[in-house]
Amino acid sequence: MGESASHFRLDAASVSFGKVDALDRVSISIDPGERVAIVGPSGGGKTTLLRLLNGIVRPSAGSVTALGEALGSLPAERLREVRSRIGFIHQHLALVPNLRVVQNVISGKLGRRGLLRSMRDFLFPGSADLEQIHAILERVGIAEKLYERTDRLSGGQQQRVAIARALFQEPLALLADEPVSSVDPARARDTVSLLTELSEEDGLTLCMSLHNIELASEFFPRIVGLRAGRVLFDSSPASLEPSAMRELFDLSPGEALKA
Amino acid sequence: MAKRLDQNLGSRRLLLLGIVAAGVLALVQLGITPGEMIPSDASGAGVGKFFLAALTPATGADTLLIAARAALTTLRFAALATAISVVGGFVLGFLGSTAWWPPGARRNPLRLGALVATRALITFMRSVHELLWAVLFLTAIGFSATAGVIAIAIPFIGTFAKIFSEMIDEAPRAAADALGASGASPLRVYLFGLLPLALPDILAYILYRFECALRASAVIGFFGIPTLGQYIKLAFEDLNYPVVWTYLYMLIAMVIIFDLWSGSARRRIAH
Amino acid sequence: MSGRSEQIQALRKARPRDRFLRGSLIAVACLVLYSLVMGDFSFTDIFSKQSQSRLATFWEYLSEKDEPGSPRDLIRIDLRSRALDATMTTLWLSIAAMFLAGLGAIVLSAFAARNLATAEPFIASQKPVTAAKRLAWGGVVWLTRGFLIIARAIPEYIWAFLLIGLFGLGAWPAVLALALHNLGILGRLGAETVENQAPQTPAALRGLGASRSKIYLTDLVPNALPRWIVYFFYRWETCVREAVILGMLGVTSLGYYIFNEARPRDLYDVMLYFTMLGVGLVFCADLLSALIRWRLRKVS
Repeated sequence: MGESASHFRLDAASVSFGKVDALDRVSISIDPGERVAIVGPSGGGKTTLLRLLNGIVRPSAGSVTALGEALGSLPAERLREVRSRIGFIHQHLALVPNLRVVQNVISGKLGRRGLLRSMRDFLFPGSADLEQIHAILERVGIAEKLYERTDRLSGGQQQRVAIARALFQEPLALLADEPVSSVDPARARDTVSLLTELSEEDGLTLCMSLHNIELASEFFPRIVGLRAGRVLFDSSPASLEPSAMRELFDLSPGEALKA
Repeated sequence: MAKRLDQNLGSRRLLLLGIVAAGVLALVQLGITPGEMIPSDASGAGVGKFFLAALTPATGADTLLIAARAALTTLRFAALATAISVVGGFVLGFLGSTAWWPPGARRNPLRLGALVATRALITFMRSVHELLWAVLFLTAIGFSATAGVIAIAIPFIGTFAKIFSEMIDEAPRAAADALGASGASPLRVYLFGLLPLALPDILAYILYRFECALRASAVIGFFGIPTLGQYIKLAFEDLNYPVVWTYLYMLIAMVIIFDLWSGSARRRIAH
Repeated sequence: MSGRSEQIQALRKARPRDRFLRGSLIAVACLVLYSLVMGDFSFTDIFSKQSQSRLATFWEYLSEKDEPGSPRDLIRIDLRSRALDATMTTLWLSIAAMFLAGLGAIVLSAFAARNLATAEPFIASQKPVTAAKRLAWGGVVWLTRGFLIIARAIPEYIWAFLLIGLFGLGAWPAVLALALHNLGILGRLGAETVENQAPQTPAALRGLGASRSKIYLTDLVPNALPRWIVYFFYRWETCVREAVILGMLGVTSLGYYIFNEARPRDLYDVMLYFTMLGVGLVFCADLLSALIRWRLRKVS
């Protein structure tokens, strides 16, 4: 029972792409409602870790459990069901630029609706959906952009659309991959604050990957340091030693070439 | 890098040389000599007379009325043929694509067989000119306006299906992957993640094909359908050159207007 | 939450819509409906009694087996023997036509490119430019583009019909017809490619006093060539198909044997034979074109 209480769990999971080891025997457990930040240098494996939690990437060794289900043995349809309960905000947003905001957001529920319903969603969205989407857009601050073409929005606004799409899924957990790298630094703090606020309000598990350790320390009660595919530390910001932070980002000559 | 650039230029130069050589060889094989290119005195007079008549097209009210009506018929045919081919092209393009297959379906021999058959059908449809389809219809079941439209539609459906699947295959996959990540099935990813991205290019291609259909409809007039082609043929056989030019100018005007409209539409679609 | 649904309604009313595109879509839909309703199309008349009996006759002729040595059979054999000839003629027609169209396009694209064929190409000129000069260059572009549009708007078959009628039957009017139409297309595409090029190098060359033709030949053309070659081969694929059917006007390509020899004699098996040859030729041409374009992409 204790195991199924966790939302996400990696057991000595490793991922290799050919000769490159993106993750090396990573073990993590995340409880429902927890907020965790994964920090580390580029190429350290943060994106890969998040994609493991979602089942987009399969581990070459070890196991992954998400929302109580062991992903390795799930049939395709069951896997899709699990994924539909996990909202993933991609680093480069992955929106359809020539669709309207409302259409991009409504596509969040594609995983759970029938084909004909989905077609109707895109062409003639129902009023209940419209109200829900409008409410979500209000929460992220771009309610008036409901019918705008997505590529007409600024980068920061588009990111909010991506967040809205994830929220429309009515997920149990949110995974955010480097949400601050596609916005300017001034907005970075706002974005992180928004996501932590939203997940707290809805009681969602939040797992976010970040470069910026200061931001992570400010908003997250738990930080995992990931470097070259290995977990260096997994603790609260308060109990972090300065040496741990240096080790995380320190580039020795050999490492510098690899990263 | 420099070596690649050299290779680059080298093979292109070779290609151009090849084209020139082939072109000259073709002219020789066809027995075309430079002297032949300028018409001799006898036909020269006829040629001159014809092109001179370009300056004096017939502008009588009845000719213009006939021209306008023929133009409208041409437009109607083209619109209907294009509409049919768009629908047919989407269906065949969808059936001939693997982008929406669930994982594991690729190993199903029945599906693969159907795929290969569809692609073969598409290639076959594309390879016969619309006039030839018209001839085949004419020979096998007799000709009619309907047969004419279908004759034009068949190769258009084939071309359309091919281009349509290519455009979908070339669409950037980020949005599609995101939808898959949120649990959408491959079919839904195809319809709502790939298709919308390819749609602007597809629409632009539909406009291009519509223009081709205009020309094809004009030509099918040579088979008895009252489009511009029929009237051009009749007037020419009567040696009524000014009237021929009226009809030609009508066709040219149609193409120009269509060009302006589609250019504007294309710009707006792409924003 | 009536406030919210009202807000949504307001946003929906105010949503950005392209009136032009909407209007166009509605116009096209109306046109298609009008065409359907206009009466001369009934999709059931393909299955009419007339069609069925015609199909029966067709099938009869198709499956006939003549006495070897009978006149009909001799004609059949004779026609079939022309297969290679017809195929090669079709091929040569397409190659000759595209070759000439390409040559013409290289020349005419220069005169249709608005960034080059102008009084002050790329940079302002030292001496003042008279209005007459500007007008003259404008006229050059206008005339060239006008010619290209006329060449392009008239389909190959109609050009061929007119030219064969005027020049007399022969390979040349057919080649000319194919070449003219494709010149119209390649010339316009070529001019667009030239117009889309980065102006930095041409401007620099012009600053050094280079003439328009020098800029064109040394910078614009080499840069445009990769694109031009792709367009060239795409058009060649279509040109092969057109060359097949020009035979219907009398030139001895595949279409001639299909329409003017086999069909009038009801030798439908020969008709289909030549049709399939056409399919084969087109298939090979498409393959060759794709191969060349693929190799070019790899190299660059």
